Amino acid sequence: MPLTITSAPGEGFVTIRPAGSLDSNTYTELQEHIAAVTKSKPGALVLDLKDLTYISSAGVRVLIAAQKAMKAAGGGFALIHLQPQIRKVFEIIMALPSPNVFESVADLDRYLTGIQKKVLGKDEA
Amino acid sequence: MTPTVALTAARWRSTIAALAACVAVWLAIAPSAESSLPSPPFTVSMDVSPDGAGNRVTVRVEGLPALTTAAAPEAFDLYVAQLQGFQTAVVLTTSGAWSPTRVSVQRGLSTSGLAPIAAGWTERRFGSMHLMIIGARPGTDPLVRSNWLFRPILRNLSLRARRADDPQPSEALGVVGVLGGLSAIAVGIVLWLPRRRHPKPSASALIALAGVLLAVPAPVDAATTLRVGTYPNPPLIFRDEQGRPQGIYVDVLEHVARQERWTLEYVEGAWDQGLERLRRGEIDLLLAIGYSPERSRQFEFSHELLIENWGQVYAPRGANIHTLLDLTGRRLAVVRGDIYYAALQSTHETLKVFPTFVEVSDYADTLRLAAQGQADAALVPRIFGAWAARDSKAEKTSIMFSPVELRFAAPKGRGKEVLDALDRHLVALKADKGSVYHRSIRAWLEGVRTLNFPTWLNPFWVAGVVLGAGGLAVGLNFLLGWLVRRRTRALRVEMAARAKIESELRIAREIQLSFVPRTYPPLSGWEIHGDLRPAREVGGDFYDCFLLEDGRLYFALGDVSDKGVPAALFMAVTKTLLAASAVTGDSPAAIVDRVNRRTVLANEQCMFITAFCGILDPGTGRVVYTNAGHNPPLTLRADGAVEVLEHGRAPALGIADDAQYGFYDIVLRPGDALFMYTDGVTEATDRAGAFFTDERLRAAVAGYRGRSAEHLAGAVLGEVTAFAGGAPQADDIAVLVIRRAAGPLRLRSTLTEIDRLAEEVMQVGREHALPEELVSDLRLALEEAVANVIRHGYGAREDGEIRVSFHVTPEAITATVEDDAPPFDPHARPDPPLPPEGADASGVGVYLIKRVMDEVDYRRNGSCNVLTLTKRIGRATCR
Repeated sequence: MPLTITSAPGEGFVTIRPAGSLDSNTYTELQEHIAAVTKSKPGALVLDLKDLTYISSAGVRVLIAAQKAMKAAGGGFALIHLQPQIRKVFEIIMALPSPNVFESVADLDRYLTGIQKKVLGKDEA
Repeated sequence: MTPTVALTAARWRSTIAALAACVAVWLAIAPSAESSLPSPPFTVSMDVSPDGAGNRVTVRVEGLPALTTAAAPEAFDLYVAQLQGFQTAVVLTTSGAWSPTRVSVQRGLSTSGLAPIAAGWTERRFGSMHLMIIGARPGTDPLVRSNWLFRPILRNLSLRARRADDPQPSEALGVVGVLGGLSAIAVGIVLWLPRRRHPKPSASALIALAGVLLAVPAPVDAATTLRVGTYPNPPLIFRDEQGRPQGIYVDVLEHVARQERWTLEYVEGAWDQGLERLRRGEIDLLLAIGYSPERSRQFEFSHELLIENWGQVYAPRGANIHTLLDLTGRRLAVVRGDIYYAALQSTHETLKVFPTFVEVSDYADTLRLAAQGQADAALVPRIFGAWAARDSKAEKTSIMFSPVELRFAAPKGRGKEVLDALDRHLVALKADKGSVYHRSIRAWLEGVRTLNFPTWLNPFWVAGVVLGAGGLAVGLNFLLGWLVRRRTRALRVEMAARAKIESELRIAREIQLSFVPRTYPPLSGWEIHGDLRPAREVGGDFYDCFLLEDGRLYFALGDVSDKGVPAALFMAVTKTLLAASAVTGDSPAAIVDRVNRRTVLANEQCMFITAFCGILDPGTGRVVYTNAGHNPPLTLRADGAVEVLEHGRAPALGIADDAQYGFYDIVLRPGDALFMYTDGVTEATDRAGAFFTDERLRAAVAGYRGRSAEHLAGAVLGEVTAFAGGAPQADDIAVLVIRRAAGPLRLRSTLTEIDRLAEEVMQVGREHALPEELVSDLRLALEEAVANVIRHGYGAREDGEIRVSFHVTPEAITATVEDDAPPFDPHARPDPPLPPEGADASGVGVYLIKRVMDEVDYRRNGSCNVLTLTKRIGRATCR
């Protein structure tokens, strides 16, 4: 079950779109991709899971690790478009970063605007 | 109901009388008396030939020269005693008191005058007749043993030249018939009057109708003319000395033709000519044609079989031909275009049997060639053989094969109505034991000791005539009142009796259902499931299975040739005999052979049983089997292919004690299933009377690949029930499924194998049409389990093996994960701290498994970890 990953830089944040199956066999690909993206220290990391069809605990661990890394670096982290089967796994192990999961792009935009302000303010200071 | 009671009583009386007669005859010819007597000093030959009124029976006695011993007096009387079915004894002499006009026997034979003597008489009856020739002291009662001079000679004669359903050509009979008809009308009216409140057609109304039909000849007004192909194949069809067509087929066909008002035009020829005429459409119907799938592509066949036939090899005495293998290099006389010849040709490569075939054009010629030494053996149908071989020097060998259903055939695309009508009539004729069909078979095939009353002499009829005449004399009023009282009384008694019988039948049903196993031997890697559904309270189908001492599985499925209580009793005996025979651990052929001999011995009712019997070696999956005339089972392969187990069909049990049973084998690989069934499945009918058919069954079975044995059996029977659509079940149904569980998916201990695991889960989901969410949960749980084994169980080892297998039932799916890593019990682990406490979500795999599965079971089996995951299927997702 393949996993394809694309990412798109936004203003002060990067959106990563893993598509397919995030499992014990593919989680390293996402791990490496995230490591590469976070090297450029984006203000926030957004994972758009619209096309993610499957996730196992290995995949969940990658996302939690990414969240922790972003938090440690003072950045933002958000998940959007969780499919029911993905949400179910997160819910079972109570791993949802609850404030930062969004159903709609509008909600996410508000969150990212807040992050941007924070980042811009830091830069100006 | 009253007539039924009266008839039953009449039958009882005649049965008791017959029994008494049997005892008397047995006493008369008791072996002790016989053995003390010398052999008769003469030879007796008998001859039966048809004449205008019936059969001319001629008895010819030729004396031996040495008639001068002390045992042979100077003179004695010869009596020909006729023992019809051992039920009556009629002594025929010229001067005796019993029947002076029927036979002339020369009296006072002296030792000096030994010229051959002959006596003859015309016999109007047909069927089987037993004659006893007694040499007795002159002027004494010939049936008293102490008067006998020699051991009596017993002979069996078959009177077959008359047609079974011809009325008796007697002038007196006409009078009796008219009288009978009129009286029956009277009886019918009398019996019918008190019933008018019940508008149902009653037995008495039928009697009245029968009376009318008998008194008024049916007008012959033929609408259809059928050209009917015949060929010499006695006693099924042949021409007698006058050139008239005769035989079982002719009896049945002419009966149907009268009912349907067909005119028949017989076209005589050799067998292959008949076949060619049918192919070209020059005839409308061909008689005595064996059904085969190839032929059914060329011709239209009726569905109902007239009689079963098979190939039988005859050889002259001393020819030393006992098995098929003995035929190699010998000359075998065969008939061109014959179905048994074709069967032998198509299999002789496989069987390594290479006779030299000598082709002739009719069956009689094959026997003649064998008798004259121009061939070493002859291949004929068994029915013809039984008929013709008495007059031939060739004898029956134990070689028989290729049972064939004899039916009617019409040219392709034609004659549908004619065939349908024949089918319709045949079903009715077969159901009635007194019909022309049964009478004809008894009359033409020898050795069946039954007393046949012609229609006009039916005890019921005679009772009707007497009762009717008496009733008219006494007066209608009196009779009416009496009948009403009697009927009410009889009805009350009968209702009580019926209630008792019904309750007993319900109990019998419970007992019978408890005969067949409902729980199955626990055989690792195998699934077994059977189902039994009698058409009435009890039935003749059965299945059985149990483990033999050596760990192999014996199984059998069978069908007794009848329904209801008689079949149920026979079923119980046969199943028990088979089981008792099976515990020896012999091959299925030996098991079946033993049971066949026993069944033939003790089979007064001429019932037979078709059975499929096998032994499975669970280790290798090899099934050794024997098929005694049963519907060939189906094999559903793991890839969905359905095969028909056509091999090795031998005669049904109880038919011939010298039937030969071979055994064949088949290997069931993981995922393969063996589907055994009785004809109640394929012959289930819908409301319009159409059959479920072999084709539908094959398609149904193919639709359930990958399903468990229980699921397969249940789902196919479900389709049969749905097909019937509420039409009553006509025949008993039994199925037995033995399935080798699909082999496990074998994964190496590396994470890249997770892909194959996911593919497999999704495949299982598709095959069983499982809901997406369930598949996703199962995939998650299995990935977590397998990933744990790879990471923690095998550690860095990449050569470990993990085996995953699935078991799907309509209620649940169970996945089993086996590995050879060190013990790991998921239940022994506490649930991990969950985020945010356990912030990296490590060790949540097992927790996830427990949450998405309904049951998680772990056990250590030797050096294996066995983890069983079960998820219930919430709704009916399966077909």
